[in-house]
Amino acid sequence: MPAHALLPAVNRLLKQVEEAGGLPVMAVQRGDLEELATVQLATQEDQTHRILYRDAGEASSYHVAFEAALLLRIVQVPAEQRVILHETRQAREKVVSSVERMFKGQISLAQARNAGVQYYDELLLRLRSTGPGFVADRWLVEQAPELRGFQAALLQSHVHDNLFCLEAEVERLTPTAVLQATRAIHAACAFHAAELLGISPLAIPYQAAGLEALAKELIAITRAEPSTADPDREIVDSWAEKLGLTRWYVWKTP
Amino acid sequence: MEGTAFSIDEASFDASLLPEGSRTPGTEEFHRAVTDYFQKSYAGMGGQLSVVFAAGRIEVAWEPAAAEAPAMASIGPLLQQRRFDEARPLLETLLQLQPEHPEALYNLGVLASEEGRLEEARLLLR
Repeated sequence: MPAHALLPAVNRLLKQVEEAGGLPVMAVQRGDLEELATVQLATQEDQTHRILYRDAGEASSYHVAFEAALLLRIVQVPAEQRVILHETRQAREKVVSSVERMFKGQISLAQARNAGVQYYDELLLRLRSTGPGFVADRWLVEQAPELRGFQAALLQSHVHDNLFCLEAEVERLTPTAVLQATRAIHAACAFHAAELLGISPLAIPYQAAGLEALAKELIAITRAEPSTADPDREIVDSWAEKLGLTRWYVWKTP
Repeated sequence: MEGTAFSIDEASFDASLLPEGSRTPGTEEFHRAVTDYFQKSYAGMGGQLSVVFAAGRIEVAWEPAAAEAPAMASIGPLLQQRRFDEARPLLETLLQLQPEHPEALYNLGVLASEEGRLEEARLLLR
């Protein structure tokens, strides 16, 4: 089946990224991609930024646009100051040990390690992407209002999918530090979507669960005026502080 | 907004959202106040809300009101007056909501046939 053509708004956004970063940006459809879309930064050898995306019908336009918004934030950081978030072995092992303790005698050590590493990786990914994602969402509302329908559908579906984190079963199976941070991030997502889409009931579950204040603090961080050349790093660091995750990662040059 | 269902511990419910005197989990006053909180929160959305207390947890489910199907009674006269352009979207809506609706299938089949879309008519009328 032929891929859907990307909407004109996407080309407009890609052009903006090209102008800001000074390098060509291409949207490339890839059938084997695990995620809906992702950014592949230009290298010394290949001076083109690429946004890889999986064909998801008309919604692909929004997926590419969102990645373009994130890419724009990356290319605006001076090249010599760009850093990448890396795991720390100590933090990862701490999560693994928690899982081993929680399920001692019930699952093998190898299974506990796999689960622990997965918990750690997922939380780190959420920490890295969620706050900057809020800024990208708000930017897209202004820059590409024609994609608002896709954005609304995607945000609502994320909020819906995240609700499982409040279940008792999840509480029983997840290390406390991971659970608390994950719930707070999901609460922030729900309040963010409720505000952006004007659908306040999206946030009710998290308000009821007592997470409103923390969620709003996290959102406020994404609205603060940046004080360095790398606003995304500032957001991630401030979120980590609020969530007790400051020792969970380090920043390294690529 | 699509329907939603979630559950939280009574103990982790934000008691500051409830009136004083009804903040002790497990009590009748607490259950009444929590139910009231959710009813007020979803009031503007219409639909159906269910709040159940079981084993120390609050289980909440909200479903939007089912989209109302256009009644055949209101479509019939349009067909009789051969106002097909007005009848067609109503029939299509009815069919989306009730995919096996026999009269909708039949009438859309007849419309397709009258308009020369014979293959579509055949599928609808089989």
